[in-house]
Amino acid sequence: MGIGVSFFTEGVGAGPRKHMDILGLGMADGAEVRVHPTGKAVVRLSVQSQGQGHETTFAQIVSHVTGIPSEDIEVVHGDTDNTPFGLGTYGSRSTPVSGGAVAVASKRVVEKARTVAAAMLEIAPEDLDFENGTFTVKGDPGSSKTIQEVALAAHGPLELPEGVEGHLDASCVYNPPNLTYPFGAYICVVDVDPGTGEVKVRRFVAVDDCGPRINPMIVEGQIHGGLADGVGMALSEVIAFDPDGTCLGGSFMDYQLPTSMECPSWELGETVTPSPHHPIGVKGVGESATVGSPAAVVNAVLDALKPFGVRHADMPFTPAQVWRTIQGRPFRTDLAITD
Amino acid sequence: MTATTDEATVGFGRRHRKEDARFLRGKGNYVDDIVLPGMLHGAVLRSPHAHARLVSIDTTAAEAHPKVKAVITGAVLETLNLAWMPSLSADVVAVLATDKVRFHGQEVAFVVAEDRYSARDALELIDVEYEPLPPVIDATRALDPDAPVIRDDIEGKTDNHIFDWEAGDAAATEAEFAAAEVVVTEDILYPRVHPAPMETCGAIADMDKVTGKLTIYCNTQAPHAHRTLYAIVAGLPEHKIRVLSPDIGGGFGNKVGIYPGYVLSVVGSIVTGKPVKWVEDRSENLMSTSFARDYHMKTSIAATRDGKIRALKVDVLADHGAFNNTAQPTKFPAGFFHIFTGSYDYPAAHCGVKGVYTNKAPGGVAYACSFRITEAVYAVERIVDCLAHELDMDPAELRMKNLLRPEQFPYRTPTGWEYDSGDYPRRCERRWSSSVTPTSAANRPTSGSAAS
Repeated sequence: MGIGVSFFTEGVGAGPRKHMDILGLGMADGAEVRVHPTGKAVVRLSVQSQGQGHETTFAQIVSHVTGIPSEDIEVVHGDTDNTPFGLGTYGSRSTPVSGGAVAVASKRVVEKARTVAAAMLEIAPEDLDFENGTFTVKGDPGSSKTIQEVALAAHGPLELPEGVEGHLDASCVYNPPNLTYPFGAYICVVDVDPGTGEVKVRRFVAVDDCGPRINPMIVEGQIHGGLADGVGMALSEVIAFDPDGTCLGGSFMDYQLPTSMECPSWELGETVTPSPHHPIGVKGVGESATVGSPAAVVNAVLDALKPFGVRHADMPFTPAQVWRTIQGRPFRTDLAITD
Repeated sequence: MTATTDEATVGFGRRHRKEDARFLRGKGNYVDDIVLPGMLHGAVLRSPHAHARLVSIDTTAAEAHPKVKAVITGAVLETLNLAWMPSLSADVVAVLATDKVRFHGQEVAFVVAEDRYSARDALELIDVEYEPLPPVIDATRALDPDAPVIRDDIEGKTDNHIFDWEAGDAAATEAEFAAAEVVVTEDILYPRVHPAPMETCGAIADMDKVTGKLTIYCNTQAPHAHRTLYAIVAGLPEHKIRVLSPDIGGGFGNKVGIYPGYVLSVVGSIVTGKPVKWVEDRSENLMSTSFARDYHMKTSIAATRDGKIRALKVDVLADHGAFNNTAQPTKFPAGFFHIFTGSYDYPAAHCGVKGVYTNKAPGGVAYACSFRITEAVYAVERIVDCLAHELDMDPAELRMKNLLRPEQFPYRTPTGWEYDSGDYPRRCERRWSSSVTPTSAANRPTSGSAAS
């Protein structure tokens, strides 16, 4: 048996323009929020879901800021003719960058709504409180307007103050001032069969801090996937080559992804340390578990092999690699075994 | 399920995914689900050699196939100035090989036919003569004086060196190492792995010759960046290009870059005047599209005998494959690798990264990590364990002893990053105090659950 620990700090949300250049393009992202007269909304994103649940998460960001229920918010993405410019989804950047754009655009919607609500209630905008989608006159809880009522008025015949255009639409181009830095502490327990070299992950405990969690279920799903990914890289995945350069990883018979059979029941924990510079304090999380988990699994395997005098050997710890390591015969895992 | 009150659906909290309504019913809409009127199908002929000179390509028999509409070779692309395209890392990538093939699985020819089966069948009718060359497979041998030069397409190139890059303070780090009570060094390999998304890469290009508008359906993670790059590469006006990304079955960085297959679909559509679909199979995805990692990291740690870390240094040999096409957007050729100082407090760190060409598929993507942070975290977390092994200390205790303290944030690392916020000891205390919860049905969203 072996126990492995991995602490990690990631930097995600690329990124500040001063550090970025992809063929001359910087990495700011745009977002547009349009509120319909009946108080339903559509938000247009520059980032692109590949299964991360953007249609849910980004609706929740708009909802969090404006108080509009998330099922009343449509998320549009994946069409360059109908979305603002931005650099897309990778490197855990959607929530830190596009999420910042959506949050700021949503705040601009609320500020527009505040001026309209003030006109409706015939009071100064600063004399209004805003909570859960409702503007209330300070000191007069009975005088209030919901964001839906304000949306209708913003499109209606109401006389608006000088300089207020009407409608509640807003947009933002968000250039992040810094990356966000999620972190975590992982611990893995493995059993190693010294006869066959087979490794079994018995337990995996993952404590992640990605700031406030917009949708904890989606965050946990991201972490589950990343942990499985780490188990795969630590124990079975490699694109190896023979001496002629023939790729030996060209099928799923040869390139072994982990399945539920190789994964334990994940045990998750969390702490919450908001990002001080993000408009809603959130950090990216999509890749935390992939980043943090391989070292935990490998450290556990090598802890188990400590009685054999082994300090380091390279992943993936396939049964053959573990067995050779026990025999004092480590080999290059990126090349085909030739001896 | 829908929540029962409006209040329950405002803001953050557990919610069923809006997407699930279609995904769970099998009603997703992926690139390969899209069928356009008159659509043709493309297939790519790939190199069986890792390194070989192209002597000749005979496409006569393939062109005679009754269902084949076009056969495109590197020679055809040369006439369009499209045989090479810019990489995302200041290099060029062959769309179709013209002079040599440089990795097993490289694109050599493209067939457009009435259906996918005919396109694949016609690949076998193409007769390619290769003159095999010795390949460079082991990255540690890539800079040997007698190593074959892979990139002789680059004028004046006489070796397989791509770049040297460093971060941190070398002198301060060496001083710490010279004075250290304990030094531990290991050669740590993060092998080449593959993102392997469930859905492989694919595109449909539809060039409307009347309006001059090019519509590309593609499972790209970055539709806007792709549109701009198509405009730059193909010289098409950007407002006449529309990129549509439908549902995507996983990306993990694999779907960031522009692959030859996408460009070939566009060329195929321009040549035939019809929409052309190209979707790679599993082997094509694993063998030719962007891999990840392949970092050979000589890692050293300096510490006091009682386990206080003083310095860390990493010398990386980075295997970039046949073209430097790593898809990372930073100004640093090793991405964010210099975050390798990790969660610990010590005064000095330095890394040097040397990129080399080998006869392997190009890439080095942001595979489920923020631009080489996975390699960085692996190096530091492995070498700290090796230090614990050497000092015969508990690895957890050694880490706790060196963690950054909450009052140090925002924290500037020895390599120049500014960590925005963190409470590192707390995450560990929580773990040690067993406050973790197994993920179970109790944590799933329920209808009417209150927002948190």
